[in-house]
Amino acid sequence: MTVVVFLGVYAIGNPVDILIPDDATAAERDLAIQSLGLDKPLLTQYTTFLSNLLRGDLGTSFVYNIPSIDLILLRLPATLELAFCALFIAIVIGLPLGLLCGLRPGSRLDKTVMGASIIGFSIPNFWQGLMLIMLFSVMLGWLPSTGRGELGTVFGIETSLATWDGLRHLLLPAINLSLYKLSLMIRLTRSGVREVMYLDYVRFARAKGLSEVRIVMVHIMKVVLVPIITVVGMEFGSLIAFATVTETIFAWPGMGKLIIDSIMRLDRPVIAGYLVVIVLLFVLINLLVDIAYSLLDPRIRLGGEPNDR
Amino acid sequence: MIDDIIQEQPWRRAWRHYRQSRFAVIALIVCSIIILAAVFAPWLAPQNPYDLNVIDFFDSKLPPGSSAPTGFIYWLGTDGQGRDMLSAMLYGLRISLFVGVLSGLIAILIGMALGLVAAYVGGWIEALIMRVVDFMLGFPTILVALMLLAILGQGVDKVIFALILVQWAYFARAVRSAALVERQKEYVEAAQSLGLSQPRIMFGHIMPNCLAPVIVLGTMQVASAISTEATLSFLGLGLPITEPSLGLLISNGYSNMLSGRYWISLYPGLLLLLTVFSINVVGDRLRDVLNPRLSR
Amino acid sequence: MRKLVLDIQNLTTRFESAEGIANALDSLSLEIYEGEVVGLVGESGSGKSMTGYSIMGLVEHPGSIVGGSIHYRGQDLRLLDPEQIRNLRGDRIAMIFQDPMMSLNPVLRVDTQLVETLKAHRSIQKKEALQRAIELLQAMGIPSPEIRLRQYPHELSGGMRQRIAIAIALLLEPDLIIADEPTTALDVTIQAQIIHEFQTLIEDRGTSVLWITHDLAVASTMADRLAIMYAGQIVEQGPAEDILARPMHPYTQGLLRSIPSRNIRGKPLQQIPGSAPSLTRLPSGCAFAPRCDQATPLCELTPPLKQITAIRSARCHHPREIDA
Repeated sequence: MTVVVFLGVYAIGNPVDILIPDDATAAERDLAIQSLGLDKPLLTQYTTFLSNLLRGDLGTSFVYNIPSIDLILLRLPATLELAFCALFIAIVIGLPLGLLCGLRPGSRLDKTVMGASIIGFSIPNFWQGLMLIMLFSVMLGWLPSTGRGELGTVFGIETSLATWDGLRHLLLPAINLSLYKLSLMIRLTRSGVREVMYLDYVRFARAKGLSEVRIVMVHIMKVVLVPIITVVGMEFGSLIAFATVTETIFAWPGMGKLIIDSIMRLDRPVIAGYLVVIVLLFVLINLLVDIAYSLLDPRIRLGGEPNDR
Repeated sequence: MIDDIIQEQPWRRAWRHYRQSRFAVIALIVCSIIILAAVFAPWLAPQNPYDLNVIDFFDSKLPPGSSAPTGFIYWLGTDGQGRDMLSAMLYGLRISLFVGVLSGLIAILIGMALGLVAAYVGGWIEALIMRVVDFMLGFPTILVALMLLAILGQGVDKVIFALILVQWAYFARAVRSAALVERQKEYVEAAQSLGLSQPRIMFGHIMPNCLAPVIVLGTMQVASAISTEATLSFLGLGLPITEPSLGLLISNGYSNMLSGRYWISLYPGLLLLLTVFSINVVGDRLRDVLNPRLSR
Repeated sequence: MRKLVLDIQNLTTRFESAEGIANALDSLSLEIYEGEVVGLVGESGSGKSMTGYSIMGLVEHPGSIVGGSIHYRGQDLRLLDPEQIRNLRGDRIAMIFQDPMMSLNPVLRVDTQLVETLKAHRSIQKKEALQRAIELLQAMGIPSPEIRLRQYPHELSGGMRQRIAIAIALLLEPDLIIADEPTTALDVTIQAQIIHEFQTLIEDRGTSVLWITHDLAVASTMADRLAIMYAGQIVEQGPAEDILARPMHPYTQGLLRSIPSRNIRGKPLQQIPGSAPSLTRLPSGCAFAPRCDQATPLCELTPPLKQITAIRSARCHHPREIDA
């Protein structure tokens, strides 16, 4: 894994040409190459990389001249904030809508929402962001188009959710990021409900004379939620990935924008650092999702098979 | 009694089912128009956007409907270089579709082959293939594509390569699942007992029965590939400016948006949206039609 | 004079699909009195389960009840609004399904599924509801009920799961229990146990039971009266012993002949020729005629319901006794 990362990052491009001004003398050039360690053989560079990695040192950014790990961690909270907000929107709107559609298949509500959801995941993320800016910032002037707003402190964490200005800046990018997830959420919930709705235990619950509300909220939802939560967990990772686009458009100072800029500028330590952080993050997410799944589905937790006789 | 035995051809029945949604039929028509427009772009476009003799810089950033001193009408306006938007869009569509469809097709071939092998042969080969598939699918496509292009640099072939790489795993997994189910069925045993060779059974017998999920997935993946390529181009990592796809056109218009010249980003975006949307609608409908479980 | 608990008259339940119209139930009439067990016997596709669902109002799209009446203690169930029906279900009329693994919700604990039934029909605190559940399980002879209650369905054996389903049915002391093939999914030995336990329970409480099964042998051990179903209709009805000793309808006769224990060793197993008809393409007249060895041209007309004695009836043109 590390070999892949290293080879990928250290073999591309030619940072020498980028970082060292063209009018530098040969001597200055050599000095720069030496100090950046670009002249050592590839294998040496790799071992240094590996040993640094184990010490938590992912190199120093060519551009900013601070340790890349610090740089990434600095920008991580902004991305996480954005991702969580987008997830929140997707769940709060998507789950109930999907539920309603699933309970009334073929109805006008169902068809309209399903059609809209296809639009939702067909719209190219970036274009949608541009249009949002166009509509709400340029034409209507309601919301700011770029940047992150003022930060406040809640429970010791700095976040833009705490200030009105922060919220104003957060709204458009969060909506932009959430749209794709929202459509997915609606469709997922709907199909889950439709599958469960006709199963015997729902019929049995009805035969017991339970109220419709209880049947839907407890019997159906609890079963449907299990796969949904696992999907949501996995999708959180893709939220962080898509944030790269959103952050670029809205100039949101997060990890995503950092990586795009770094790729453009061939800031290899940062790229390497980002890759490592991302991989770690995904492993963590997968682990959490597995745990959540086993907690929620008693069949897994207590060692039975789903259709034990 | 004979009437019971003669059944409708599967294709006909599928088409009849598909036809029941007017929306889906319209989407299919739109798809076809778009594909035709892309294929015949050089003949349809009023102006060749690459021909430097025709483009007049002083005509740049004109709103839709305005006309050039030569009397030529820019139906959808012009972009920052003075290119006719309509023509640029048609050519851009051509490239976007080309890249999306080509990468999709190759990904299908690779994924299907690997999926079939995994399902039929089993053992450590299957384990190995599926490990790789799981690994690849654990990461969001856009991220992998981003990283790949960061390493490989720009170029049409590199973009296609990256797109293939992120897509094949979906097909491999889908085909393997379908093939595993088919493998248990009796006709495989029958073919084996007839002494047919393994590859023949795999590709001749099992594969045709796995096509349904591939068709559905393939449609949606092509749409996704087009969208991904557009995103990459927008970010500046995709196709080079010598071959502008719709994504690049949109990105060119980005800076003009804040000054109110919306059309440079709007129209290519709408075309992109329409393309991806109609393909997705067709794919979605196909999924309902070809899925035996949901026929309620 | 025994009191009537359930009075079904000319009930017709219809399904419309692309393949055609099928009457799962065709003018079905059945009476169930207090304290008796009625065995509803038929092959799959005969409409027996649909009878249960129709009574409970659980017929799902694309099916619907299109004719007839279902009177529960004088009230026509078809005229009630959804809320009234909901109140009856589980409380006055309860149902047990065939496969308890499918009918118990896998992600909810056993006690939740028992308590919610009580709370849906009585205003009762959770603690008291739990207490009642424990008492019932104890009365049913289930060991360590407190432990069982805290388990999930998949942790229990098949027999235990069905006992829980039975407990849920008995919780509110209903007048009528509709048991839809409750032992079919169980091992034979467990089957016998459950049937025996069930019999004791309902006898103690005087509950009426509609026992739906395809197994004539099982029905004969349980039932006071039998109703034999074919292609959506009841073709023979009467006291169980009477029907078993002197069947009148050719279908019933065929069923009895084909029970393995009734066949003589060495001779070929007797079967009813042909197979059950598709409900969308029923022959005109008697539905059983194509397979009947006593059919005459008269059978192309719809057979009337012949009242053979005050308590026996058969839907046939030529009901007659055969040497059993």
